[in-house]
Amino acid sequence: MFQAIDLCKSYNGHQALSNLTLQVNKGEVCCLLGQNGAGKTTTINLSLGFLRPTSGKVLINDIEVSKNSAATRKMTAYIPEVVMLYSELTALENLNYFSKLAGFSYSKEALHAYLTEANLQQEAHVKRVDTFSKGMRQKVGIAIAISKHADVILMDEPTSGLDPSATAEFIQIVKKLAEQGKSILIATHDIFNAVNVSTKIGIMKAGKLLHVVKSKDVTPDALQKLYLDTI
Amino acid sequence: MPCKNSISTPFKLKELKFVINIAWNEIIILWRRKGFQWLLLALMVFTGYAIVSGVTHYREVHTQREALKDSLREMFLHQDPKSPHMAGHYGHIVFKPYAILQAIDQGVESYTGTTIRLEAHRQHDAVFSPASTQSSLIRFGEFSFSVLLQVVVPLLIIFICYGSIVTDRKNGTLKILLSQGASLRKLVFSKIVAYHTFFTAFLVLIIALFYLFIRIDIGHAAIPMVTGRLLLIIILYSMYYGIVIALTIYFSAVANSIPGLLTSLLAIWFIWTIILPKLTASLGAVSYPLITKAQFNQELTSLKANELNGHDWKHEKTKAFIDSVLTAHHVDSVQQLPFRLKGLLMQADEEVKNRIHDKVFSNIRDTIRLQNNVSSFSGIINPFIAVKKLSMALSSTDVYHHFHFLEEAESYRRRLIKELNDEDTHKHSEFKDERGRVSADFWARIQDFKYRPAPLLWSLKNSKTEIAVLFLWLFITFGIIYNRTAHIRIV
Repeated sequence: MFQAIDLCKSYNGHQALSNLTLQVNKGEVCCLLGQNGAGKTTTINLSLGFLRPTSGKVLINDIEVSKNSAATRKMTAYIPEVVMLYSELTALENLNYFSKLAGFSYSKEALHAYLTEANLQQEAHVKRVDTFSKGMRQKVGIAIAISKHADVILMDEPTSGLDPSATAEFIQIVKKLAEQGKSILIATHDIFNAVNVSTKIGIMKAGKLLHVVKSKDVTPDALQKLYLDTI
Repeated sequence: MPCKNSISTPFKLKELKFVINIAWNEIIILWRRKGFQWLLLALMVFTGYAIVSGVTHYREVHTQREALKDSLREMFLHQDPKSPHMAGHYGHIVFKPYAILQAIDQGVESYTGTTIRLEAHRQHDAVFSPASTQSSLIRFGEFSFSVLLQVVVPLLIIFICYGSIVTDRKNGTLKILLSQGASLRKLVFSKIVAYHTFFTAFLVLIIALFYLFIRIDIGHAAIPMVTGRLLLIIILYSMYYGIVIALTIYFSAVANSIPGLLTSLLAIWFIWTIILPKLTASLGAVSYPLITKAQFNQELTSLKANELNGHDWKHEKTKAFIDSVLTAHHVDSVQQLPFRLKGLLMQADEEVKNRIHDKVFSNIRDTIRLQNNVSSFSGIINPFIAVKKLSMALSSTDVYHHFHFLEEAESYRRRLIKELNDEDTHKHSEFKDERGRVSADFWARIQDFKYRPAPLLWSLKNSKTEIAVLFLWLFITFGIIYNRTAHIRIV
């Protein structure tokens, strides 16, 4: 489970995040919407322990990130906007390497299975990733996240730059992960897909979480209006 | 899902596996990097050239000097009958042997003399430095093993390692790596292990090739003398590469801009390798100036003028010496002495002049030692200097090894002249004819000069500062990395 409690972050006098309180339970997908600079990526960086909060805290399965980031990182998977892997390695080798970093040692068959689960075509498994499209790299990133068996998955603009088919595939995978009981937090600009994939949506502006709505209670049009009115 | 098993191993083994995993991955990436294999091939070609040209040059010079040495020995053995004193003035010529490890590091050998004329009463300089017989292009330096190890490889390390973390940071891979559980400290240390393993393996390979080549080309005779030194050369450069790799990767972890980082690292390399060695050499020379050759000769002449002179029997001190000899033997004239006074007087003259020479020359050596200390201590801000000096010491080509040769040659000269003077002192000898000229049998009794190179421990004792400085650099570099990486910002 993911919890942010009164989370604040300021850099050089600039308030990047103000009193953000948010909870993403098991099986929930929460999308954070907002313009650039709204505080979405700062929230993710704080949740990964890459930044220390000025005040407040992030809890992953009730463990405070800033106090024990080594432990919370074990329970967290991260998928960035562009999954930059090692271009000299194949998809399989990348997955093997990143899994080992997380403390898992998988057989070749298991690695293939994770890549297949992430919808990466079989023939691409043994190709170097320098030939991969952004979508294909994203799938390897998803395989890395799946293979980690993390309880919380944090995604930063994961559908940005993906073609509609890749986005649709991505949404299916996210839903499947949520069904498995993962808590998923997605920072995105994509209102339409936010409604499709999430169980709740937060709208942020200037470091503040101004609205949290349940996806089932809102249409894409209504959400768009609320979003535009907010920002 | 055929997923498995989180690794459950003891803490330290787990940490080690983690480091090995990152390091191995880094080596695979390095090996597959575009152009890397070509770069490695080019490096191997340069190395091969350095080995072959160094050893071939050794063989040529060594053969030449051995042949000259043999021919001079023949001339010495078959010289015309002459008085021992005359023979002392004819003297003998000795050559500095060409050390096989000069093929690795020429040190000061290009600029120091290789040939010394040994004569009674005076100490000649070593002359005919290799540089003096070559074109002025030698000033630009030769492409040697030491240039490869000291200049080219560190530059290559910078080019290969500088992007190791900053690139991951810039393209976002660092965040994925860290989110997977790697700490920045482990990442930095693992990458250091990877690159250090690679460059040490390269070092071991090229030194092994060199060892193999000299074994095949020169034979077993040279091997016992160099094995220990070669092992220490591997350790020396492995330590230096450890420092360069660690600093490059640490700066890569701290840096924000890739071009800025590369520029800074190249500037450090330039300052360490080119600027500071010249600057500290100049600083040493200015701080502790050496007297000129003319001043040296003038000082010797003025000191000798007041001392006993074997060729000037009217000199006050010579007269006093003769009187003391006559008194000691209770005789009134030189003719009544049971031996030839001339031989005894010449030996006394020799000993007086040796003392004067030792005094003046030790002042010069002390000054050179002080100049060297300036550059030795500058190793505190530039480990390259410590490495350069240790490399010369281990290759037996630094200035102290040159002094060692001069001392050995001078010690031989003194033994040779004493034997001649002793023979000259005898009124009758089986080796002398009626005119006091010694025969060929006498020359055969005199052993030829055989230079005994300085032992390894002696070389190391002269390099205590450099060794200490190098360990200090290692300690500080890894201490900083261990303590500071936890504070490096990730985003």
